[in-house]
Amino acid sequence: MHDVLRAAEGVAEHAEVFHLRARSLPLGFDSEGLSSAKLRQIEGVAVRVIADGKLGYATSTNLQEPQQIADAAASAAAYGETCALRFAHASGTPLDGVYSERIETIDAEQLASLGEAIHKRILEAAPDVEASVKLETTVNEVRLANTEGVDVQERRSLVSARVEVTRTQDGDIFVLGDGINARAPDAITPEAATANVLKLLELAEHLVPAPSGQLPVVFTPAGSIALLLPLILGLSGKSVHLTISPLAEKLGDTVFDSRLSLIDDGLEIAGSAAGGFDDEGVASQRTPLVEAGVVRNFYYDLRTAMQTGVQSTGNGYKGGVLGGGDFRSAPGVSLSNLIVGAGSASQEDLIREIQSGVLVDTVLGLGQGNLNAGDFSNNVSVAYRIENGRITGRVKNLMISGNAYRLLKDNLLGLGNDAKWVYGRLHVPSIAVSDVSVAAKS
Amino acid sequence: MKQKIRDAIARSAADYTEVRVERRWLNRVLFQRETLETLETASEVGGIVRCLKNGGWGIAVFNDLSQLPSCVDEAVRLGDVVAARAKEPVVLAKVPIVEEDVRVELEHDFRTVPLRKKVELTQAYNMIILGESERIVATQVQYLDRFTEVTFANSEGTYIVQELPDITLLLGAAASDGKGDVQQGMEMFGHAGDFSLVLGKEEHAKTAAQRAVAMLDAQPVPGGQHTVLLDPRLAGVFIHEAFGHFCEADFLHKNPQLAKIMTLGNEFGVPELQVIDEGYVAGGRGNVPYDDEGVRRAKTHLIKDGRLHSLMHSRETAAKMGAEPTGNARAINYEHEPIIRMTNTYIENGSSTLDEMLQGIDRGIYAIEAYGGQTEFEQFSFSAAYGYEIRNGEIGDLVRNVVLSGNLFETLRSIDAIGNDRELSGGVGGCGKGGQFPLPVTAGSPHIRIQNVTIGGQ
Repeated sequence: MHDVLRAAEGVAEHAEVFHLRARSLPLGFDSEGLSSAKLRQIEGVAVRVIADGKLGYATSTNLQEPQQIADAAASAAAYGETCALRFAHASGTPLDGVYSERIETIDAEQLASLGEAIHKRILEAAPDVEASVKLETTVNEVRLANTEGVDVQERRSLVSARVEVTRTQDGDIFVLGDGINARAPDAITPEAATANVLKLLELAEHLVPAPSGQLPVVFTPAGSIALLLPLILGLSGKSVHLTISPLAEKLGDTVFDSRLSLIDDGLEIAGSAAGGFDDEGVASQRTPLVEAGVVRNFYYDLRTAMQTGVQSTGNGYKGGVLGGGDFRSAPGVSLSNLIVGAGSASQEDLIREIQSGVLVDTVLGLGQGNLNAGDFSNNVSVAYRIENGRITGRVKNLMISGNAYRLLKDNLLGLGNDAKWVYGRLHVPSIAVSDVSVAAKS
Repeated sequence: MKQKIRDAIARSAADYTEVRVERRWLNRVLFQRETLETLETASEVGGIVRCLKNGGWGIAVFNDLSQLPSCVDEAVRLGDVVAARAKEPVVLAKVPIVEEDVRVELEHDFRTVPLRKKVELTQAYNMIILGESERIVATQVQYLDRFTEVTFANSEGTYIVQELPDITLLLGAAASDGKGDVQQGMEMFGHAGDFSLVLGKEEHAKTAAQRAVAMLDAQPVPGGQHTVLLDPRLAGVFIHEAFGHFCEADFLHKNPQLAKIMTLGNEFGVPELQVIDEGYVAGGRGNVPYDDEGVRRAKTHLIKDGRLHSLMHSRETAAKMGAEPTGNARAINYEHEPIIRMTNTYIENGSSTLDEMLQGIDRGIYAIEAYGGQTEFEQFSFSAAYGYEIRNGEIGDLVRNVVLSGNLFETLRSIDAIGNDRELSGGVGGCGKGGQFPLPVTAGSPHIRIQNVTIGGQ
């Protein structure tokens, strides 16, 4: 990697080299048993240079040719955007607990036994479903060096399990999924990997007519992504810079219910985005975004920070809005781990308060609707009818829509005490809101 | 290289071993509003080993070619782990052994075009869109070229090298009325060919911008049951998304309920209805001389004379179901094993002219292009990019929010006229399945007329 940096120094004023060596071992079970096991060993570099004041970017897997990689970035810069971007000049130190040798040494045989136990547990509890189980260990070795003197490296490891069950009866197909990530191998047990799915499956025994109208909705931690996605966009430094965020002028204002708090926390090792530094080498940090309903901060990468005249909050990541990219994509502004403050009520308490409503666990078509304005509009694939304070069965062919900003300001009924990790990097409780537009399709 | 690969395969203790090595070069230019958002150039080398040991698949992926021999050993070991826990051993259908070198010749090879030219061209289209109207508030103009050389070898003796070019252009505009309403206009081009595809698209850039603006004043389509005329692009997306995926044998294998409906010989539509997946169509983004199992491309009639005729197979599903492999086992890149995917999928020409089809419609909707959609087994829902009202056989006003939904099998049976103006298009993205996205494909159709389609208003 340092060869590449030296080569880049020769052709540009500023340069940054990101080097990833990733080793992962995914195993997949389907109804036929274990169907495949794969060892994935990927290594690549991404180079950013500023040459004649312009930004260029190139990636390669051919580490034997450092000059070629540097030249590719420099030639991209020749036609690139004029950019006052400066690479990170100070960086974080590796984070404790983000790497476990015990994960690195798990072999396929051990993963296969664990997968088999998970698979068996599902089929014992629900013999009528098809179950698929995916288990994976990942070890990423990230190195980053730049011409400002940053030179850091970190090893990060993760083990994950994802379970999906499908129940088919009388032309009705019901698919339910859940996943867990852990930094320690023993955190993934057959019980932990299946508890939520089995609970939701049991509640889905009966199909009941779906309600319509302006109704209260309880979002499970997984379902709450429908509400949170507009906020994740709206709090991004990029949306603020482009002034397409309704929060752009609202720093210090009370915009949400006082029970709502959101923290971006790149240092929380239970979240899959944890690390000592982001993909631009900036130290990870804990940034309160919303405190007691008040907008406190936005999150920035180096570029949006420069455009806005603030400091990066360590939110430069490869990959899309939710990050998780490998070495290929250029870094952009993205959340690290989002921690949504929990409440004191259990999910059952939240449901008990509702006369007629819906519990939503999985939505389809994320991102439909005018997200920038806070609007969401989703078909639900896993949802339940709430009547007189309890769940009476599963509903289907239902569409929910509303405005996340309005619902989380005026219509928050309560937050659960059941916060859990979903999508790897969001730690979210159940969220109950009133007045969601619920439309049952005939 | 050839010797290295052959040596690595020779050392394998598996019953079947294959190696695929890819070299790929990519350039991407993206403008958003006034800004050059992305300028990216990439070059990659990587490979994958797949071994069948006692009927279990073991797989290893690598970048460092010197690791090939150890990856073979690793894949064999993993195959053993899988075989011990698989219910049924995997068997592969027999296919001919092939030794071939398939090179492409591009008249205006995009690899020889300087990056500067690509940036300038993209920027020029972007400026046209920005300059078209004051109501244009955002643009998305992307140029992408990709050249891949794939080497495939297996322990049966097959050794194939093939080159796959792919080039796409997206001209996207967003217009706003200043009161919160934002509408889009898009023109998309993609083919497996040379640089000429992206030249001379100035009028299309204008069209994209003008449509975004015009959509601001378009009325929402009235909801309800309508006679609908689909343009070739939307009909192509429909046949790929709503029907094509059901013809992938691995999908049916996991969905026994649907497999019952998808029995060969079952009647799905009028006798004039022909649906085909074909591994070669001039310029088609789905063109692959050989798939990623080394199987020669084919022309597969999914529906012949209105009846289900054939499915798409890999060597594994072909052996399981007693069919022939169809050249549809594809992977998006060397990090993935091949799964059953479409190539170029289309409804074949029928006999009606566009005029004849319009004449039969007193009140209906002309739905054009697709912005996306979702399918959940038999149920589908697609958003047309835009549409027009049809009254008394005449195309009328522009309408928006055209969302078509329904049951696939009922909808196929309700196709009552098939045009004679087939067009295929590659678009700019690709198909997604099993975590592998985007895979270059094309889809197409002539205009088709469908009775009683549910159109959602809002």
